[in-house]
Amino acid sequence: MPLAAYELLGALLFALGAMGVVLRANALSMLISVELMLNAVNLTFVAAARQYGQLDGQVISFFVIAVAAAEVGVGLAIVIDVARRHTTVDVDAASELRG
Amino acid sequence: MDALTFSFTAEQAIFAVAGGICAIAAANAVLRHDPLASALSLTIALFALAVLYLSLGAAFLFGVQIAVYAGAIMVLLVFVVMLLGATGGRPPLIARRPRLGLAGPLVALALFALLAAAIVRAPVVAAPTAEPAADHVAALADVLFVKFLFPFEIASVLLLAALIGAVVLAQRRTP
Repeated sequence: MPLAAYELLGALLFALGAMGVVLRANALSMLISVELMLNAVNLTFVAAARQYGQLDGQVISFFVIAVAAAEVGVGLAIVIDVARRHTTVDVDAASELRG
Repeated sequence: MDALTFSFTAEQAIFAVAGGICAIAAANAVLRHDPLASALSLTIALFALAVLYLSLGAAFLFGVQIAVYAGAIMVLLVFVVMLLGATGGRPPLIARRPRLGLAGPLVALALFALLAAAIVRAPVVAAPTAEPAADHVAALADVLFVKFLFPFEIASVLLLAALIGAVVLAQRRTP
C-alpha cells in the first residue's frame, strides 16, 4: 500500500474536521471536529513511520494523543463554564471578554 | 506494479474496509447536528483508525488508541454531552444553528485540494529495506525514553497543568 493512499485518507479526514469546525456553532461539535483533525495527522505520522522504517512517527503520535487528552479536558471544562454562564454552548454567545 | 493482476494483499483489503468505514463515520460525525451522534460516530472512526494502525505495524499504538482515545477521551466527551443535554425546561443547551453555511464545505474542499496536490507531487519514498524489530514495544520504548525523553517529561507537566486547569474551570460557580 503506497504512502500516498494513507496520506490522502489523512487529508480527507483533516478537511472533514476543518469543515466541522467552520460549520458548527456548537462548541461540543467543534471539539469533536478538532479531535478528527488530530487523528488525521496521527494516521499520517504512523504511515510515514512505517514507510521510513523509523519509530519516530509513532512516538509523535503518542504525544499527539497526550496533548489531545489535555485539550479535551480543558476544552470541556471551558464548555461547561460557558454553558453555566450563558445557558448555551453556542460559541457566538460567549463573545465578551469580561471575566 | 502490474495493473492487470487483481490480487489484493491483506493490507490493501484492510485499508479499503477500515479506511472506508473511517471516512464514512468521520463524514457522519461532522455532518450530524446532534453532538451525541457525532461523538458516537467519531468513536467508530477512531476504532477504524486503530485497525489501520495495527496493519501499519503499530501494535502498541493500536492499544493506546482504543484505551485512551476511544476509551477515556470519548467517555469524557459523551459524559459532558449528556450532562449539558439533559437539563430539561430551559431552551436546549445544544445549539443546532448551522454557522457560515457555505463556508464550511468550501474550506474543506480547498484544504483537501491543496493537501492532495502536495501529496501527489511529493517524491515517492522507497519502501524500507530493514525488517521491523522483533520486540516492537521495546524498540518503541528505546525511542520514547531516550530520544524523546525531554518531550515526554514536558508532556507529563502539560497533563498535570491541564488536570488542575480543568478542575478550577469546571468547579467555578457563577454568582
